[in-house]
Amino acid sequence: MTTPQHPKIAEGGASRPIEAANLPVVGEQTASPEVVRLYAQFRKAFGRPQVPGILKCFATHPPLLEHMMGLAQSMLFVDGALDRRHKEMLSAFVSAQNQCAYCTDSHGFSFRVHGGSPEALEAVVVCRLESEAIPPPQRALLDFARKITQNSQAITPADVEEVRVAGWSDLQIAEMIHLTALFACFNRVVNAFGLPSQELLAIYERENEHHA
Amino acid sequence: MPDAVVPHIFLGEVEANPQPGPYSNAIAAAKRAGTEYWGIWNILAFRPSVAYHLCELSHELMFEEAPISSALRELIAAHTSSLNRCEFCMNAHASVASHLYGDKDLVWSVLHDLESSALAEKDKALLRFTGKLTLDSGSIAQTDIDVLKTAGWDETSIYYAIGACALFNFYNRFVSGNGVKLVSEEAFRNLGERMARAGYRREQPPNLTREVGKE
Repeated sequence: MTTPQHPKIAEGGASRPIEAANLPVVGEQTASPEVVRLYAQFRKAFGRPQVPGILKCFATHPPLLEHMMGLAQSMLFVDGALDRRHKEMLSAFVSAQNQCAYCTDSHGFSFRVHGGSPEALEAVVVCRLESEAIPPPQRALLDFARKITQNSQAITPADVEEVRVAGWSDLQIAEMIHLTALFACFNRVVNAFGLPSQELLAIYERENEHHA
Repeated sequence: MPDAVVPHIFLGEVEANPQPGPYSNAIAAAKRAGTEYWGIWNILAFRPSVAYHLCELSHELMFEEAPISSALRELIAAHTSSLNRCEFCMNAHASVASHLYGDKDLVWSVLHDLESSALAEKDKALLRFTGKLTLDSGSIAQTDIDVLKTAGWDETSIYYAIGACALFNFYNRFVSGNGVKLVSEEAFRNLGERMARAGYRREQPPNLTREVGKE
C-alpha cells in the first residue's frame, strides 16, 4: 500500500459516526460480519481508524463494497502507468467538476500528501487550467478529463492525439479514462447519499502550519 | 488492402497488448473464427483485475435478486446511457431490458420520452431521480429522496437505483472515452438475450457463435 499515513488523520476519531444528509449509511454498530471484515481490511491497509463515508454507502450491499474496494485498489491506490500524484490530481479535478465536495476534499488531501502544491490544487479544484501552477502536459490531461466528464460522446481521435502530443502514452491515457469514469460513478453515489466533506484538507493544512 | 486492421478503440497500444484473461481469450477466439467482436473487450483486457471487479460489481448490482426487478435496473442503465448520449450502452441495455420486459416498444418509448411513455408512475419517479443524478448530481437533496419514498420505494430499492445509475455513468465514459464502436443490430440483440439470461459475470470465454453471430 502506497498511501502515506498522516498523524492527524490517523487520530481523527475512530468512533465518530458518519451521517449522510439524504440516506442512512451502514455504521459500525449495524454492520454485518461481512461488512465488519471489509471495514477491518480497509483499516489495516490504510492505517486509518475512521472508515470513510463512501465505504459506508457501498456497504448497504456487502458484495458492492468488496468490489468497489477492489476497483479503487486496482485503479487508484497503485502506481501504474500514471503515478499516484497524477491519479490523485485527476480524482480531485473530476470530483470538483462533478460538484462532489466529499471526494474533492479527500483526493485533494491525497494530492497534497503525494507532493502536489497548494497552488496546483487550488487551480485544479476551480478548473483554472491556464494557471502557471499546472504545467502544459498536466493541463492537456485535465482538459481531456473535463471533456470525458462533461461530453464523453463527443470525444474524437483528435482529442486523444492532443493528449499524446502533450507527452502521454496510450497506457497513461487509458488509466486516465478509467479513473475519470470511476469518479463519474463514485461522485454520484456520494452526492445521492449527501455525504458531507470530511475536511481532511483543512486538518492537513492546519498541521502544516504548526510545523512551519 | 484486404488485411487492413480496423481499430476497435482509440488507443492502439492498449488494443495491441491485451493482458492474459477471459477477455484476451475472447478476442483471440473471435479473431480465429473471423467473427465480429466488441471493442469493450479491448478495454476490459487492459487491466484484468479491474475487469474482474467491474464484472462482479455489475453482476451483483444489475442481475442478482433485489427489491427492484432486473428489468427496471436495465431500463435505468439504458435511460442513463441515453441521457449521456452513449449509443453503445443505450443499445446494449435497451436490448437487455427489452428481453426482460418482453416489450421492446415500452423500453424504446421510455428512451424517446419518459413522461409520455406507458411506464408505471412509480417507475417513472425512479427514472426521474436517476435522470437528475446523471445530469446534476450536485443538487440532489433530501426532498428528492422523499419524493421516491412517497412514490412507494424503500431505501434498499433506492440504493440499487443509485448504484445502477452511477455504474452506467462509469460505463458510458469508459466506452465513449475509449471510442468503442457500435456493433450490428443482430449482435446487440444476441448480447441482450445473453445478459438477460446470464448477467455480467464472465469467468469463461464466451460462446462466440451465440454471442455475436456471423455477418
